[in-house]
Amino acid sequence: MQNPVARKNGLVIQETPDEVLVYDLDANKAHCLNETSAFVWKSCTGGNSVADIVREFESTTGKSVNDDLVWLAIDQLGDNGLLESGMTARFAGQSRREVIKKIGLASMVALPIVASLVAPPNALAVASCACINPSGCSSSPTGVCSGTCNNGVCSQPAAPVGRGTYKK
Amino acid sequence: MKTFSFESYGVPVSILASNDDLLQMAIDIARKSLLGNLRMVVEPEAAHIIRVGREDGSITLDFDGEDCGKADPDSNFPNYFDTRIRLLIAEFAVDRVFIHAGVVSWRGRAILLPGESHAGKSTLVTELIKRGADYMSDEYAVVDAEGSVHAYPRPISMRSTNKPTTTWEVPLDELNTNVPERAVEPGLILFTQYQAGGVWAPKMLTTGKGVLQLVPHTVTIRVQPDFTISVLSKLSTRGIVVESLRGEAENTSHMIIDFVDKTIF
Repeated sequence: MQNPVARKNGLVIQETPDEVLVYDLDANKAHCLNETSAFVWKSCTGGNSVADIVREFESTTGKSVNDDLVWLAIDQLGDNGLLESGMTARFAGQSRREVIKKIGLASMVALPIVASLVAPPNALAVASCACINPSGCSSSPTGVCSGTCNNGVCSQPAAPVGRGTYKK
Repeated sequence: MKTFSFESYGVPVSILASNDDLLQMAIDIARKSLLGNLRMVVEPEAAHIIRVGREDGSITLDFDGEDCGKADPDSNFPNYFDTRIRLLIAEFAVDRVFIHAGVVSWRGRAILLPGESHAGKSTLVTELIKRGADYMSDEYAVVDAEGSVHAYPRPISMRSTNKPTTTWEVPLDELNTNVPERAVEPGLILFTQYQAGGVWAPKMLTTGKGVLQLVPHTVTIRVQPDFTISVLSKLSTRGIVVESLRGEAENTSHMIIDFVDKTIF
């Protein structure tokens, strides 16, 4: 079986004491990896099998984990485009709730979490429903402004930008 | 073609207008919009180009090659141009990250209220000022490379609750408040949303989650992702990040101040 490889290109990476922030320049998406998922991601060198990552995790944290926990992290990292392609999802077709139930009861460490949010498409989308004329409200950059253009503002406000994709 | 070139927050801009009157109107709006942070330059390099013209009694506008369309010169044009010029500077600002947020300073620490338009930022900012906070902005938190927060003190823009397109500005001298002249240390970054009967129940977020929540409100993220992520990370590390529902602004402002006093000082 192929070993997992962390994606290196097209990412901005910022480490904080307990988390790793990753901004995907291609997808314009920001990700926050908790300690467990960050550890697994850093261990995805291509030279480590899942069993190797489990051993490395146990020797570093002193806590025992199983393959499923590492696979859960790998599945999430893969889903979010943070691994090179080629890995087959271990838990494909299973609900996240089922997977967490299976792992969580036996786990002594925090479950891996990759939380993500999409960056707004452009500056105008962040700010407002600015419009220059009546057609500007139906063809706004966000596609969510509507109504009439009155004093440079559409009468119907924009829906929140970048929401609805927050996963954890 | 008449031309005026300037630089604001390190962003070079040239306005090209078909006559003197249009050029002067555009310059006047830009000066007001950018709070006078506008330095005239001659032949700037790699400037953003704004073209303003007239056609059949309407004003035509083009931002960096994007045809914005035609506008009524008296109603839609001034506000639209004002919004676009601010966004242009905010998006491309050098050494600064612009976050869409209401901001006040309380005992020398910045309280940021990130939120979209119509989220009630101005109302909450006004209530915080009534409780003695210093005004910094009802639109942008301007954050430097170290994560410190600078004022962007436009007149507060209030909106009618019954008719959202009806807005009016509250001049700064009517607010009975000070505006910090220097950068302010980040204190609280509060993600809050109004809900009828909403109960104030602050929940701390980690630094990473704080950055993630700031991303949708950050104007510069796609243009300078490296710098922006670094700045957001410093801001979230130096301040505390909290989320909570809220009820009416008047009561919430009291709870925010109380929370800051207890958790930061």
